[in-house]
Amino acid sequence: MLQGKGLAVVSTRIQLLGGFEVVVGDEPVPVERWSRRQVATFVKLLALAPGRRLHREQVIDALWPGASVHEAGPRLHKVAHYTRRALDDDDAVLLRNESVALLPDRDIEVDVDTFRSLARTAQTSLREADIAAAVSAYSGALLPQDLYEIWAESPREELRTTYVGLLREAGRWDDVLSEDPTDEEAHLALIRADLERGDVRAAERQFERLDHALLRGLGTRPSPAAEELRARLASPPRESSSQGVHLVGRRAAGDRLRAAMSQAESGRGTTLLVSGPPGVGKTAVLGLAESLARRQAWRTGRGTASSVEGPWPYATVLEAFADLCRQHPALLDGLEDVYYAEIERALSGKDVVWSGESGHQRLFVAVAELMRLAAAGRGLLLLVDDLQDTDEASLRLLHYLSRCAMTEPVLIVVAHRPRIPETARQVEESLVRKGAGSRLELAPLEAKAVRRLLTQDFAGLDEARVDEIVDASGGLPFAVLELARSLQEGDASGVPALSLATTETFQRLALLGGAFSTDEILALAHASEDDAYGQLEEALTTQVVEPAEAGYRFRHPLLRERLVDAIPSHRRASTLRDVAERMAALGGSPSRLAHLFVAAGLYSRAVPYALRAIETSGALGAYRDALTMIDAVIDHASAEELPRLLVRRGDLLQALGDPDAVAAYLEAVPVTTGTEHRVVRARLARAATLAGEMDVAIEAMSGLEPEGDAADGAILVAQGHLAFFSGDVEGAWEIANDVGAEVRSPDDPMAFVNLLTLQGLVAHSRGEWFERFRMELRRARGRQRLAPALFDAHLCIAEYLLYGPVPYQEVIDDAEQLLAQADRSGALRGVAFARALIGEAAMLMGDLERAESELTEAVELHHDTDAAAGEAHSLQRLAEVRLAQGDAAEARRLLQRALPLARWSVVAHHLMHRIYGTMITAAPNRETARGIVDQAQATLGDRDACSFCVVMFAVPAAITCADVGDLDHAREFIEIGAFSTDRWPGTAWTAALEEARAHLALAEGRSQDASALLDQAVAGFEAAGQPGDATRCRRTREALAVEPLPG
Amino acid sequence: MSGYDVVVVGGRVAGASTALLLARAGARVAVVERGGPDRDTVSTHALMRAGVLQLARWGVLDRVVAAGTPPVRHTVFGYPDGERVGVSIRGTHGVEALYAPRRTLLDRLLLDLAEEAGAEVHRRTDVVGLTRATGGRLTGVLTRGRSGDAELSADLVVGADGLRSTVARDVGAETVRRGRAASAVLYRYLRGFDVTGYEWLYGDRAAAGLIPTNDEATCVFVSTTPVRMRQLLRGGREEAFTRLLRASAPGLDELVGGATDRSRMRGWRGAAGLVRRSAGPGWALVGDAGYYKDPISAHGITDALRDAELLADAILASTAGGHEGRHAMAAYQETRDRLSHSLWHATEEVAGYAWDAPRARTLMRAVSASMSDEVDHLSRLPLRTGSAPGTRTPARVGATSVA
Repeated sequence: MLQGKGLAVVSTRIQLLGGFEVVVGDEPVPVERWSRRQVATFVKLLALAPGRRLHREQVIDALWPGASVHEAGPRLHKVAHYTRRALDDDDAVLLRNESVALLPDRDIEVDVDTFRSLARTAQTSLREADIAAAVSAYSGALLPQDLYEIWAESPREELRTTYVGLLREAGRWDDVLSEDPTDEEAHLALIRADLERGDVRAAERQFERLDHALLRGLGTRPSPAAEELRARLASPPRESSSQGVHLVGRRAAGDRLRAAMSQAESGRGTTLLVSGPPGVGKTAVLGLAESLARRQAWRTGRGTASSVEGPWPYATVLEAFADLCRQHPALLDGLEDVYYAEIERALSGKDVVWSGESGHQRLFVAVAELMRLAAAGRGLLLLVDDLQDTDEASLRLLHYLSRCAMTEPVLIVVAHRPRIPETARQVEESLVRKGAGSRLELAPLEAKAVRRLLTQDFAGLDEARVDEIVDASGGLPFAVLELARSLQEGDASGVPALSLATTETFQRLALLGGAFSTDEILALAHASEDDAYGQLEEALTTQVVEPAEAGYRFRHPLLRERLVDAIPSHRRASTLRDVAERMAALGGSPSRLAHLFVAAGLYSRAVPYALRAIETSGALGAYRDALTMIDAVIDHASAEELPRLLVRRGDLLQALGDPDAVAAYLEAVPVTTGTEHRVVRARLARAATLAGEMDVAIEAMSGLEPEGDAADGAILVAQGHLAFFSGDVEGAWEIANDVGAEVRSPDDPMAFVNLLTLQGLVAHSRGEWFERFRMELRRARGRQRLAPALFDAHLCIAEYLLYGPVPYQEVIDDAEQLLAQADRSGALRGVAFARALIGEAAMLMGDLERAESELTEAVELHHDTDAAAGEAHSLQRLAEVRLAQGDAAEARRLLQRALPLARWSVVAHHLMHRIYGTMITAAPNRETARGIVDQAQATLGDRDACSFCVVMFAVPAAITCADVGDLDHAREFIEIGAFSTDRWPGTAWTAALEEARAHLALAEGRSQDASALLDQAVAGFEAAGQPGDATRCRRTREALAVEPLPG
Repeated sequence: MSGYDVVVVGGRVAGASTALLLARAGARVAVVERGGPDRDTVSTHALMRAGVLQLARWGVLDRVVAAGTPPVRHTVFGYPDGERVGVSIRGTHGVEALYAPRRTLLDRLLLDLAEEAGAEVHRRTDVVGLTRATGGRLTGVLTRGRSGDAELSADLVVGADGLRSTVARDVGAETVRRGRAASAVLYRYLRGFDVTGYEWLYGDRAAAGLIPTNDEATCVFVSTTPVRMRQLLRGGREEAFTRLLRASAPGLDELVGGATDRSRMRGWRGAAGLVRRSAGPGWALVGDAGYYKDPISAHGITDALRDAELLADAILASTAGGHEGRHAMAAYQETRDRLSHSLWHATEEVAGYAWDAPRARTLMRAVSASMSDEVDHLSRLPLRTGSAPGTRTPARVGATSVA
């Protein structure tokens, strides 16, 4: 029964805090009624407005940004209609004059209004009961599911600030810290309270929590007031102990470090890759580097990877920058806010929801800018320890930074054990190959160096014992010192002696990783607080552990490993489970807890944490780390958890351009329902379309139409892609341009990026890409979130050269501007694209040196940002450069690398033809070349090809076929090429086709025709500014001894 | 025996701060200041983080804030390609915001505090000569004020009397470095338009700055090369001001044109930077007298506050004797020059007005990195909030400072 017609007046409650719900009478409005996203948004927006009333333009601005009042008018009426239906009330919405009102003249309670009213009372009276009432009325953040709605941002923050203010007033400091773990006032209040109770240990632990929280901030450290309080506690701030400034037997390492620093000071930064077995002294060499750098007044920053802590993405590298900024916080006065926010977001380790954006590009650019800033002046040393244990995301960031460092006064020193993961190995090889890095392998010390070390540190040892140590240590300084220490203490085991209880506690702690807090010691001690502190004291005294910046750490990774190895195998599983459960009770980062539960074999316990960690990894662009996490837990997910994991697996694979996304989405389809199900089908269709699985795409889209819910954007974009790849370019064009404002908004980044991709694809087919791209660029100016999305979308389809009449120097000039703009926008793919473009233009102009340098960089940048299409494209172009340099073998190697990357890229139908075209040209002989033509045809099949790019395969194929006497195929390929060049007149490909026709003419015995055609080709290539191609045609003509025709 | 441990010639930021710190440490200090208590001066007003840090460490900042100086929590950099970059000022080292107090406030406050700490302040008094011992060592100054002529004898004379320092000239202080570039500047105070923080705008061979200061006013300056300024001034000051605003950032002339209340315009013809030897027998230099660089980096007051403390510490250390004491004044110059080195070079290039956008960004990086070094150095010094307990009058301050 509709209330408007009805007789009874029913009260309505609207909940906006902590989630969205409308309760009419006692009945919650069913969730399905809110499946139309804009209906829910409309209700939320008005419920939040004073008196639940807004001017219509305010509503239009919020719901359809960019739409005119004229366009939006009918939509507004439609939304009002559906809102009345959702609320089952004819009078639920009043559109009168210029205003829009929700549930006017109704008995409504909106929880936000209630909270505000109670908060005002509490702020005035300051009575405990009033404050408590207000605090309890705040049931969570405002509309937590709508984090990307701009209109909700400001009230969300205002309500949160009010709430935190009340908590402060009430002295509920623990709650304040739940909202913001870095709130120093709250920490200090708790510390003072602990001290008043006489509990100094509790105060110290609270200080440690403050230190720990601040470690996750950029440039944050305790205030002078906090340090003053700490000084009263006689608990000095923890400084990392400096190790090995004077190293025995490492003169060569010192020389290498000094040389690298000297080189960096002249503006040619480098990366030193220090490797060696455990205990050989890699960390000590890092310490030596640090000491040398400080002596030269360089800035330094240090990060260490951990094998078991399961930290957040990029932790290892960002730790180094956090360390740098803690030492020099004023540096941040020179770091742009948007860069600061990117780094802070990644560093904080806070849960974030992945919106589909590829945020890592901006992070890379932001970190590089901080690196340049810190390097300004004398220089910057970045240290990364234990690289073998780091995450994939850190490796990619490190690779990027190492290359940026080449033109800055920066030295990066990375230490790792000999065995490293494949990605780390690739990163190393790439750096060494490019001249961005060099290796420094640390060998065990020679016997005389071992003796010197013992003389220096253990002068009292007799000769027999020294000999014993020389033999037993294998020249590893760690083993030397441990053996000497234990021999001195009368224990020959080499392991510091601990009591059983202490050993077990620190074995459990060793399972957590290299570092741990006092809270964690207490949680894992299985003992009273006094006993736990006693165990800590014992571990400190025996030097098993040492103080760290916040908490403690094992003095050496090998000590930690020995403790872990000493856990009896029959107790290992139960110990791991115990540790995981106790840590979960203590609380910690979702990523860490997920790793702990996985390690403990408690997979289903890991899933909820994994779900949260995956979102954060996705948002930070750590796709591969997120996929690894999904694979670890997916078989143990509950029915409620499985859909989310499957959908995210599809999204992550799609973000990586991996065709397995299709299979992942196919798995997700049957387990999802409602709007999510529609979204998944649309994403499946798009992924299948791009992978060439048109049947799957058509089936996925069958019966799927926009319904006004959150799936609409994805559905429309998928329809557009399907149309385009089915050959209906005009249909795709129509969809791409008619898609509603909800998809065109950058607030739904995934649909927005996909829409831009579609628009780019269609524009390319229509020969309007460049104009379109320029227009979009102008539109994006000053809109920070838009620019990277734009590059993401366009650059994955736009990696082809402007074959139009634009002179190459002009292309280079344009591309240089583009590069600068992309760099400032934090759009790394934009930088990569621009470099590729410059490289291509330089190559075609005959400037092979520049082409080589730009294209090499483009390959690396695309690789770092997981842009497979761009990488394949740049590799293909680099192969052309190698061919021009006469290195066909290297060209073939590059093309083999490009092929698998191109095959599954969104622009496969452009790239594959080009790669095969170049493979034909690079073939060692005609027969092999002819074989590649067949291979290409078999691979490309009848799959749709870009009607333009196909010429890049057709021309070399025609030449090859003609040269081996396969005239029918040669004619066929010339026809294909002609079809393309007819559509795109005025390009250099007309000349290329003349060259192919010349080969055919020769094969047919028409020498004079061939001669004329080659002359035309020469003229065409020269007019296009492609001297290399012109020379080749001239040579062919000369080699064939064909006389030029008169005139 | 000398009348004073130290006579400071000049009672503006550098001189008053030096006197304040010395007086708090128990030294007998006299300050000779030509102007009266409310005399204004050419200034960018802007304090950078190191400058605010100094005021906070000395316990002076609260008074600057209490006088209604608006906090600056955001900075904008504008570049020739039209890009504008925002940087928030974050709380660190106990500095939560930056400030740009009018000089009528800051100079008076520092001098009053020096007086409160025990320094003897001679206002509206000129230094007309220096006195020397037979060996040439400076022994004091001759002054002329409303109450007549006087001789103030001291162990050390500190020249804090600006770029054209009388003390520097009379002692023949060697110029150890001379710059080439110079900015010609026009500036005025405006009210009634929206500025929320510092804005430093680098445009087409011109720059502008917007600096919110006391009384809801914003100091707006434009600058360029002296040659260009002379050309522009042929069309009148207003025209030159407007054209340079426009050249500095698109639309800036319109923004500034919307101001409701304008002060009269003032100018500065520009002078090349110079670094002088900072100390000799019986004398030392601080502030612009010892180290002057172009105002385009708006770092003059911050440098003066930094060097005042470096010098005061050196003077006090020199009384302690020993190796450190003997080298204290040389160490003062070394530290000053080390902390100034990068900023000097960056400022020289900025004041050349020949940058493009990428170069301007690189220069701003160098400026920021240099300021960070300065903050790092100063934050490690002890607090100087008041007189140290048990401080004693230093015996023969500066007597062993420089051979």
